[in-house]
Amino acid sequence: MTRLLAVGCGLLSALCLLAVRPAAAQDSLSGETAVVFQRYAARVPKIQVLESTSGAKAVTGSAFYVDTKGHLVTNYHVVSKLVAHPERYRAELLDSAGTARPVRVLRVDVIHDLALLATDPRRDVPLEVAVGLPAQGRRLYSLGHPFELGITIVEGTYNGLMAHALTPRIHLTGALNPGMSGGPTIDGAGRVVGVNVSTAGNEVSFLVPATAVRALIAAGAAEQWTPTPDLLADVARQLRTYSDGYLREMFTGEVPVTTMAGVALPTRAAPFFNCWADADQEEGRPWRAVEHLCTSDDVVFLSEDLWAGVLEFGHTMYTSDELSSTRFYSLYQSSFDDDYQWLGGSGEDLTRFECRTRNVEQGGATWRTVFCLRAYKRLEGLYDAVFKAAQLGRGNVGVMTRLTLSGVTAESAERTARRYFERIRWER
Amino acid sequence: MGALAWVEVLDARGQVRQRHRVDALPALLGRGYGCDILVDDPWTSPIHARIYRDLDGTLQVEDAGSENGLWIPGRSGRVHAVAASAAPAFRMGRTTFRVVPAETPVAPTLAADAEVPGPARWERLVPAFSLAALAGIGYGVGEMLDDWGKHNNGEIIADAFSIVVVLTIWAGVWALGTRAVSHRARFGGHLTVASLAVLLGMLCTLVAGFAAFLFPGALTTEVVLFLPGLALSVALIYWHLVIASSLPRARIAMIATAVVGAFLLVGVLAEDGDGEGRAVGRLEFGADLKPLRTTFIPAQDTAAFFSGVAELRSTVDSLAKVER
Repeated sequence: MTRLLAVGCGLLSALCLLAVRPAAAQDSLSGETAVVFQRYAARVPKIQVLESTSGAKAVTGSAFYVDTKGHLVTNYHVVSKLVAHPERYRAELLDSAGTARPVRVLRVDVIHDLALLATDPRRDVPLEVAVGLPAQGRRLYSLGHPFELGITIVEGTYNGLMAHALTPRIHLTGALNPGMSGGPTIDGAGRVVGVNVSTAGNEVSFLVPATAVRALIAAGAAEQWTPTPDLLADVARQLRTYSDGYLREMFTGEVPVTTMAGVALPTRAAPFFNCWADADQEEGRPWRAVEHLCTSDDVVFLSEDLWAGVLEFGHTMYTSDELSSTRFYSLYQSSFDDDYQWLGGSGEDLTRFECRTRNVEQGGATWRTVFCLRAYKRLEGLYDAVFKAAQLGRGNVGVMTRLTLSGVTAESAERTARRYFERIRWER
Repeated sequence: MGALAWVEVLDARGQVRQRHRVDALPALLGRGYGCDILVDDPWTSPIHARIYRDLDGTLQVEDAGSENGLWIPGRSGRVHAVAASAAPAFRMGRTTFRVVPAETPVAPTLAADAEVPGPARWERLVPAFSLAALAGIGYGVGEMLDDWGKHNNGEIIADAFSIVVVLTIWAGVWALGTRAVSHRARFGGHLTVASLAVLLGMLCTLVAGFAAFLFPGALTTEVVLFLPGLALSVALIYWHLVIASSLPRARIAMIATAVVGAFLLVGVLAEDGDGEGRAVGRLEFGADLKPLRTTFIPAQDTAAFFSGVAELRSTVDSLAKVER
């Protein structure tokens, strides 16, 4: 899982500090980096989301000016608290002169993790957004405000778009740090190639490509820079369209199959899935489990503990030569009951899960089958769904399968789970 | 000449404290020195009650115009005149007494070598402890059948033994309470009742598991497990109280129901106190899986399963609407 780069209060730790290259160290950097920094650093203000009553910092991030009229781009996850609870939070930017100015959110692109902001214009110099992608290996410069260290420049290398991703992300080799979220990554000519968004650690960092930034700016301009009337409703609409899109064809047509204990089960149903298998056998344990798991890494940030777009399915085969069938089924039952699929979220955002459990015949076998659903309270028409089935009646052999979807429409969830289940066959 | 009847004054445990011989009828009871049977109870009137024989020859007890009235323990309302045989006891003021006609039969004489009569067979220690042991063994066997790790026989035996210990302590507490209000502790009776309840409870759990496995949705675990569990709790308290007290059965049944109801209410209130009830991340899969052959498992087809899923959506939608 990648780590987002916005800083919540109190995240400052000595360990993280080591990973930061502060601006003061620029003498050791190459000459071009120093030039880029001097020329463009002032175009990257700091964004602070503050708790309204106390004025305490809740989130900090970075942004960049996109025109001379006070419009900026940052990450959605930097301002997500403000979008979700405008009554509890306000946002401001700190420009290069150290002046604080209030900012408001005009529109968001929750899928690409972008937000378009507006502030009072004050002769701010914008950055140009690049058209097209740079060449592989091109040197890039990420600007931002990591932690509380002031404006910082980080050198990185462009390593192309992430292969097979559902939402495009640029892979940058360079150390992005918390607080740099929403800041630009530019080429030597100051053109924005992408927006700093997340890191997987070890200098593997990710950017939102410039095309998504251009689209957001164009949409803002087309609406004469008027704010979207109901941002949350728009977030919900974007998520519905997005999830209906990637689920429309899921588990239709040719789906690759993996076979466990004679049961044919779907695997890597789309290029954006990562699938792997693992056998779990401890010394002296009287049973064996083999797991096959497919996940997409394209999650959509909604809040610190809630992600939409979780798309995961997997199968586990249990076998035992030693256990009697009653003991085996006790193990099988406790494994089936395990609700490790922790999708996060709180009662403020979500209802509880409601489940339907039945014994169902499918593909020449009988299955204990469960479908669970919970609704988003503030994002209309969105749900989280968990589907689970365990094959019955095979003594000391059992195959279990599950599918998890988050932030999808109920129709898509039901249709996808049904198609998924209908793919399963017991080839005796 | 033999007595016509006896008036037996009882203590709180129902034991005879004094006996008064009735030689002539009618006989007066009260505090006044003119009475045939004197009662030293400041809550009784000088002439409180009268025993007489009616025209049919039946012995009657009647209120002789007392201040505080004549009562039958366990029944509500003063009584005026009641046949002596129609009530196990009477109360006037704070004195409980019964009227025993001379012709009342007594138990046959014990043979010279007969043993002292003991408790009823089901109240004896051997059957009581046998049932407790059976409960322990049942629990141990259940644990052993369920065990899929490296099972430790010592632990299972210790668990089974602890069931017996807990039952013994439980029955002991009831016996102490019984001893406080009655002349016998009746430990064996309490142990039998408690052990039977545990055995039945385990049986219920087993049946509920299979029912939830075979008929998910139709009979939810809540109904299968909850209702018999509730009935069993009421029955347990009921029988403990029957053993412990001499209250009428109907009254005991009411008390037992009230006690279980109160616990239930406290439980419901405590759950409400959690605010959101079930956590938003909690998934209730209905994971009762039993190693049965598929021929014995009623199953529906995939289409039927998913057509029922639409209900979930309206349920969570209305939850969202209410909680929004």
